[in-house]
Amino acid sequence: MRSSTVEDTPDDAQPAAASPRPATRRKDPLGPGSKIGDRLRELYAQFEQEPIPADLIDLLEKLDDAERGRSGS
Amino acid sequence: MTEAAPQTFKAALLAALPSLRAFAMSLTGRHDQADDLVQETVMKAWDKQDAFTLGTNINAWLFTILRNLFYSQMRKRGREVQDVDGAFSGRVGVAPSHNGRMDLADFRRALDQLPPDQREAILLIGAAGFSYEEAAAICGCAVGTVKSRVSRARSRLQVLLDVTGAGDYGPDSASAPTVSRAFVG
Repeated sequence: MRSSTVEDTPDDAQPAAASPRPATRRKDPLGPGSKIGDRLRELYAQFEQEPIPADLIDLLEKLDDAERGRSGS
Repeated sequence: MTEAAPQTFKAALLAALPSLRAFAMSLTGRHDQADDLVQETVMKAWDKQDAFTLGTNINAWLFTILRNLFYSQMRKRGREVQDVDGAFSGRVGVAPSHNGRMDLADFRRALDQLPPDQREAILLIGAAGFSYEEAAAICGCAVGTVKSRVSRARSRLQVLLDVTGAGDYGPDSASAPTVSRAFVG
């Protein structure tokens, strides 16, 4: 799930003067152990674990069948 | 989470559904709207599958389709949505549970009170695990814009949930029942 293809490059769109503090490497404010981040992931995981509605699976099957029918004939 | 690359577009789509649905749920806060959005996204993605290369990040591609559908629905429903936003912003805050630990329902309500662009940004970065660059591509905006939206979303959630302190937050045990009653209804 967590994609790691993009490198963590410094953001040139963000002017250095935007931060009043010196650019020290701070902990990710949404990282593990942060209250907001942990709750966010907990909620998201709860939604992810819900079963996929049957009509959504049906829809995919129908789309797939329709395509097979078209390419098969 | 399995890492084996799906061999067909259908398999890739199926594998992405839980995450896509979680994004829709947390973006809209409503099951019916979320399921409609996911369904529309699946149909649109199916039609455009030639534009997708198997093995590349299907989640980012699907999330882009879904959020664009979400915003175009919101534009269509313009007035209706504004009223909903008004009702949300009228609420002052979300009191944590009596033990001082906010529960997930409190958090969900707080998330619902964020402007959609901020909610979307903090979800993509904080929950769905995208990089700032990927989130910017999904939202069609600059990386700096995503960063500022995430930061505003986080501050706003902190205020709404009263978790600015390093551990002691919320009303003390004596006043908690009174205060939280004021927020109910």
